[in-house]
Formats: sequence, C-alpha cells, structure tokens
Amino acid sequence: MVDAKVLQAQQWVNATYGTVAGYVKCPEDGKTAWSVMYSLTMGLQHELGITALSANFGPATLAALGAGVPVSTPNQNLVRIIQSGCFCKGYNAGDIDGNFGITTQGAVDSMMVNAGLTDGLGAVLTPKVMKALLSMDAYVVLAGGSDDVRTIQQWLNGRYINRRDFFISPCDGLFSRGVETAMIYAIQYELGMADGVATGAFGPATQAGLRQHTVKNGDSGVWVSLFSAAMVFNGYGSFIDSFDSDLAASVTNFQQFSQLTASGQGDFATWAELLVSTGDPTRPGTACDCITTITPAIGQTLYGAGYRIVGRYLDERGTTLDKKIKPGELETIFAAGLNVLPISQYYGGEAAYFTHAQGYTDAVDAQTAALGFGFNPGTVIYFAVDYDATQADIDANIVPYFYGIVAGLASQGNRFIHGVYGSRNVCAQVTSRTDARWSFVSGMSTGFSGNMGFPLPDNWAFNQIQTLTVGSGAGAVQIDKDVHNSNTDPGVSSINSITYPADGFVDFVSNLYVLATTYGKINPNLLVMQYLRQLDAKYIGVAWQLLIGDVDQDFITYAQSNGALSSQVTQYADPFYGNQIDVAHFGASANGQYLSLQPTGITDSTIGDVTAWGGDLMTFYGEWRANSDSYSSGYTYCQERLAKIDGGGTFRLSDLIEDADSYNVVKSVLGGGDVSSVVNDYYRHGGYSSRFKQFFQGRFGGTSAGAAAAANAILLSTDPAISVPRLGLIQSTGGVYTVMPNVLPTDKLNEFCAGFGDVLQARVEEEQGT
Amino acid sequence: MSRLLAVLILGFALFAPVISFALLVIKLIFTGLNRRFIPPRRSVAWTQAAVAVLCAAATVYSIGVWSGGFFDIASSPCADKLPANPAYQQSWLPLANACRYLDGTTSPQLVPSYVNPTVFTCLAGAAICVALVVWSAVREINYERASYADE
Repeated sequence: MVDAKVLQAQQWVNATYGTVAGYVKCPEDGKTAWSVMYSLTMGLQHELGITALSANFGPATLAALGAGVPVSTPNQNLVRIIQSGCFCKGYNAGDIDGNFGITTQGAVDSMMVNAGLTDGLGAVLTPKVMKALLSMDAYVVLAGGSDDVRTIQQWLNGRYINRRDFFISPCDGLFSRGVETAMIYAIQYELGMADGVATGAFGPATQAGLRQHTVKNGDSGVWVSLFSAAMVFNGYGSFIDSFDSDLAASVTNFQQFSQLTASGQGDFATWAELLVSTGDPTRPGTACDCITTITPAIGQTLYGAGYRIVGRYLDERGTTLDKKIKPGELETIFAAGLNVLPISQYYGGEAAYFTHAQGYTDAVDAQTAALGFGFNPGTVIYFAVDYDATQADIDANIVPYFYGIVAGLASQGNRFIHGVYGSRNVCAQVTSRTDARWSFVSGMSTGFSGNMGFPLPDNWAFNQIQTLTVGSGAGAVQIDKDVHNSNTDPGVSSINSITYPADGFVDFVSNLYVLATTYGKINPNLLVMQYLRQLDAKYIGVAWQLLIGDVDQDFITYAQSNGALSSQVTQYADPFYGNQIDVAHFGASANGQYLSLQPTGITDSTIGDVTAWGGDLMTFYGEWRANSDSYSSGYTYCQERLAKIDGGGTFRLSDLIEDADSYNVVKSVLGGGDVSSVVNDYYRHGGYSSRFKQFFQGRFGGTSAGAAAAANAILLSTDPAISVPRLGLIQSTGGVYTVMPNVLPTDKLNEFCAGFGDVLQARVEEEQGT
Repeated sequence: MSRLLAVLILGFALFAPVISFALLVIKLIFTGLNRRFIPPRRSVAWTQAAVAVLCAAATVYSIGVWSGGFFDIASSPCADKLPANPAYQQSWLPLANACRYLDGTTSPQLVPSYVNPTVFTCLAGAAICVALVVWSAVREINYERASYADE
C-alpha cells in the first residue's frame, strides 16, 4: 500500500540530495523500508557537513550532531529530515515544510514516549533520538509481539538511555538480538561497570557478578526486575520487581524445560540459561556428538563420563574427515550402553549450499545410508545447518532446503523423519515451517545471530554447549557436549527390527475389534471408536453425551475385563511427523463422524464436523480472539499458530492429524471396511502418507477456497446442534466475552477462514513434497 | 443419564441466572417508578420473597453446574489420569461431580462446597415463604370478609 506522506518524503529526499556525491537514491514507492532511512541518514550527514556519505548512522554522524538538533534550528532541511523520519515511522508530523512546529514536536514526542522516554522532547532532539528516528525500529507492538516485552523494552530505554553506549531499543514487543544486548548492558550497569567497560557481551566479569546475585522468593528491587525481564524474554512469567510465588513457579517451569535443577530460584545457571544460548557451559550433559569412530574403549569412556547418547554421522561426501559411521560401530555403541543420534551433514557451511534440489538429494542419500545401517522406520535424522544463517538466508535457502528434504523423504516412502540441527532461530523456523520433529540446537555458538534474541525452541531435544576431550589413551575422544531434553528423542537403541511407529495403536485397535465382535451386541466398528473415545474423560462428559450420545459402558467393562487394558495405548508416534497422537481425540472425532449424517456438500456443517476439525477450529477461533491485541489479522494468526508441530495452542498439527485420520478412516469404514483392517492398512501400508490430501479433497473439494467456505459455514451456522457447542468451545479458549463469529466484521472472519484454507493447502503440499 | 434431563438442566443453567437478573431489574424499575412507596400486602410481600430466594437458589445452582465441570466440552477436570468406567460420579440434586479413575481413586468434589448448602437453605426459605403466603392470604381474606360483614 502506498503511503502518500512516505512517498512525499522519498521524493523530497531524492530531489534534495540526488546530486550530492555519494548519495544513494531510495525507491519512490510510498513504502517505508531501510532504503528510505538510509537516504535520510545520508541527507542528514550532508547537512552536518560530512562529505563521505554512508548509509550507516555511526559514530561520525553521532559526533557531528553534537548535543543534538534544537527545536529552534534555522536549518529547515534538518527539520524536513526529522519530519520525513516521523512519517516513515508512522507519526504525523504535519507537512514536510521545514517548520519544527507543534505538530512535528508532537510527533517526535509521541515516538519518544512510545520508546519509554517518558520525559518526551525537550528543547533539543538528541542524537540518540535522531538515530532511532532514522531506523526501522518500531515502538508499538508488532504482530507476534507482546505488551509484556514492550513494557520491558520501554523500561530499559527509560532507565539506561543516559549511559553512553546504550541506544534506544525497539519497543515492538519482540525479543531480538538488540534487546538481548540491551539486557546484558543493563546487567553490567547495575553491576557497577563504567561506560566503556560495559560491552553488552556475556563475559567473565558479568558472569562473576551474576554469581553474586541469586534472586529468590521474597526479594525485590532492580535485580528481580532484570531477572523477571529475562524470564519474560524467554516466554515465562511477567515483569515484576518483587519475587513472588508466581515467579518462583514460572522459574521452576523454565528450569524444567531447560533441564536445569528445578529450584525456583534465579541462580547463576538460570541467569546464564536465560541470557546466552549455551547457558552455563560447564554443567553436565548426557549426550554428545563427535566425528570419531566409537570404539569399545571410547564407548566405555563416554558411558563412564555420564553420556548415554552419542551423535554420529550417517554419511559423508567430498570430505577427508572420515566422520561416517563405520560397519559394526552401531553394535559397539549399543554394547557400551549408549544410544545413537543419527546426523546428516554433507556440507552446511554457507547459504549457497542450501537449495531445494540439494535438500532432496541429501534426504535420499541420508535415507539410503540409514537403511544400509538398519535404522528402524520412524527414526529421526538430524539434518545440519552448520553456519550462522541470517533470517534472509533462512527464508531464501534454509527453509527451501528443508522442503527439499521433506520431498526427498516422501519420495522414498517416508520411512524416516526429519529433525534439524542449527541455531535457535534456524531450528524454530524450520520446525515452524516444515514440521521438523526435534531440534538439535548449536547453542555453543553464542555469537550467532540466530542464537541471540531467540529462546530455546519448544521442540529442543539436544543443546550443544561445549567442546571438550574426555578419557585418556585409547579411550580419549574429543566431543561436543550436548544437554539432552529427557522428555524428547531418546536416540536409537536398536536397529534392524521390523516395527512401525504406530504398531502399538494398530494392534490395540485390532484387539478391540476382536473383543467388540465377540461382545456381539452392536456394531463393532462403533464400539471400537467408543472405547478409544472414553480414554479421555472429556469425551464422555455430559456435553459430549449430548453431542454424540453415551458410550456402551457394558462393552467398556467387558473389554477391560477381557484383556483390552494390556494392549491399551493412549498415544502413539505418528509415522510421518513423529509427534504424539492422542488416541482419545482420534476416537471421539471418529465416533462423531461415524454417527453423524455425512455432509451433503462442502458448506454443509454436521455434528461430526464439530467433533473433529470444526470443533478444533472453534477453539482456535476463541484463541485468536483472545490474542487479537497482538494478532489483528486472523490470516496471520492462522499462518503463525495453526497446525504447528510445537508450541501451545488449541489446534496443533497433532490435532489436525487426528481430525484428518479420523475422517479418512471413517470414510473407509463407511465404505464397507472394518475399522481394524482400515487402521492396519492406513498406518502400515502408507495410507497416512497422503492423509491431508485425502482429507482436503474428501471434505473440502481439494481447494483452499472450499476449506475457507466450510470454515465460514460452520462458524456461522444457526443450527442449534452446531451453534450451542460452538458457544462453549469458543468461550473455553476466548473467554465469556469473546466476539462471536456472527458479530465479527465479515471481512475479518473471511480473512481468518482464508487462513485456515491456506494452511490446510500448505500441509497438503508439504506432505506431497511439492 | 437421561438425555432429556441433561438438556433441561443445560437450558436451566444457561437461562436461570439471566431470568433471575431480569426479574431483579424489573422489580427495581417498578419500585423506582412508584413515586410514593406503598408497602405491599403481606401475601404479596411473601410471594416476592419466595421468588427472590428461588432466584438465588437457581443462580447458585447454575454456578455449581458451570464451575462443577458438568458441561465442559473443550477440557476435562479429570484429564490427569485414565478414567474408570463410568468416568464420573454425578448427581443433579444434590449437585455433585467427581472423577473416577482407572486406578480406583476418585478426585475431590468438583462442585464448590458452598453450592449445596446455599441451594437447600434457599429452597427451605422459599418453602417457608410459600407457607407464609398461604397464611397471610387466609388472614387477609378473613379480614376482608369481616369488613364486609361490618358494613
């Protein structure tokens, strides 16, 4: 969208300085971007008498500004630059007329207040404010940002702006590299470091200082503020200056998530974990990775040193490192009591390597190697990105590379599941966009741009924190020590067994079907679905009974007393993505869709839909409305939060899998199959590998527009059988005062529904490797 | 559990507080519109008192239904462990709801402890009010008859 004022600013700066030597013109497109900020910066430099113009607002520009620009300055071009900067940042400065009047002063003042500089503009616009004005930093909450983070950003700016090396941080509600640096500056200032000594780096003096500042329940003051701020940046607790029991509980949660000792106190290990990607690198790890062949002596060394999982390379290409697993080595590793973590890294040191085609090739080669070693189906292979990939690299190279990996694995029948090795940001982005099962974080590289300003990804399984040598003599080996998240990937403990990830579930359904047939009173397919459904009490409460009826309690008793409990599973690993699938949700969705009338068209909403995708969409709608302050656009919310493999939320990837699988299975059962055979075919003979395609085509006609229309229909249906449960589902996540879909502006609801449709289509494309 | 009964209670729990609140507002409006306060006859006053305590009972009962997790659709208060068969120990009067687990244990009562005593106290109060309505009405009728006889 063209902003007339931004366009005016671009035209003015180009017209005014276009002939100045060294000046670089910005595009005149009415869009705020770094290009126009750079042009304005060069214009400013010219006005200040600097001849060697640069896009960088560096020390020379700051020095040339001296005490700043007085409001009474006679230089009208300086004022026009300020006014242009205001417009580009979204503040109304009146006109670009060179008059530093009340409107322009008000614009600068608003920006400063938004940045936490509550005193506002005085008689002089300081160099730091000028630098902020000519940057792309935002001082209002951006999509995905939070008010809590913004409050801290403002607090940091307000408290430390007068320190020499502290510049105005963005106040956009987003944790970033700059905010992390500002945080460390703040700690250093509070430790009493002088300007010039404080560097914003987490060095030995800072670490020593923090060891003296453990914070705990009952404490108050600036150290609690700083600690709680660091907690908020990592997604825990709220910003407070008194350490209370709520903060202690949040600290315990964070420590458990990070695999620290759960003390509930802000000790050094917790400070370090909050501030840098290694955390405290001297803490013990139970996993490691190395390029050295594991011999019996080395295996003994590693086990004796407390390691239980060792990462080894599946294959190599064009290298003399000789890092590949050797024949018989896996048996040696298992014999030493260790598990294996298979890594695929052919090369990964620069952006140019990472292309879709390369990802495809690497996946096929890694799969061939893994099969050669006898790795079992469902094993997670970690594909490595071993350099500091920037956000631009991630968008342009890394994510396409991983799409290539998904396509490559799909082309070979999806026997293995992809994980990701890389910086925190690489892991988070690859997980979010390609559903990598687990993340192996290269936390040791603390200076990586992808590690600074990013919390540990939700699906982290390993965090590489230190290089060291353990053992001696024949048992000596250099390793990278990894902290293992014990709730995640346990590594591989055996090979050459013909098992499938969903075997337990398939066998359980088979046993149930036999029992249901023997029981003989009603349709055995229905009884099996009811049994699965009752594994979570939620699905047999009064509300669900009203929706799809009660379960046959006599059959439950019969099955439980005839061996159902011995084979019972409540979760199983999905063979495609490797995430845990909730059997009860699958059963409830299947039960609902089996009993319900089948939809007669795409926009025909049924109770079966409510028990499956429709119900999940309703709770997700409530969740979006509860977060509407941060996500005005429902489309953006869907793109960022819908059907993700990790993180919270009410409509995760596992939910969508359960919805799709139940739909596909019920469709086959209604077509004449028995649920046992259908489930067996589906999970053991590849039905799942096109699950989203089947679901998308079967229920929504195979188009995102169809899915959006169906979403719209179920969110607006006036049928009480749909609208009454919808009320409960939406309020369960959005709260009692949630704006219901029928009173939301039509275009906003349509945007949300379009997001649903596009996310579904993206899942289909990802599944098919296209 | 009877499906019809569950539907009726769902409707009751949804609408009873709303109706009670509406009655309260109507009463306040009518009282406000009366420029000169005229005490109602005793039978009318006891009728109003009976309606008030019944509304209070209905509202507290509804609170018990919602906070007791009877109609939770998106989450379950019993999600900690595998459920037994049947999964709930429920009663509509007195209001009670607890989770039964496969390991033989039972959860604490989900209905807040104040709900049933309050509801029964209000019901008893309503019964007393009704009795007083009858007693007052009989006295008022007898008084009016006596007045007619005097004339």
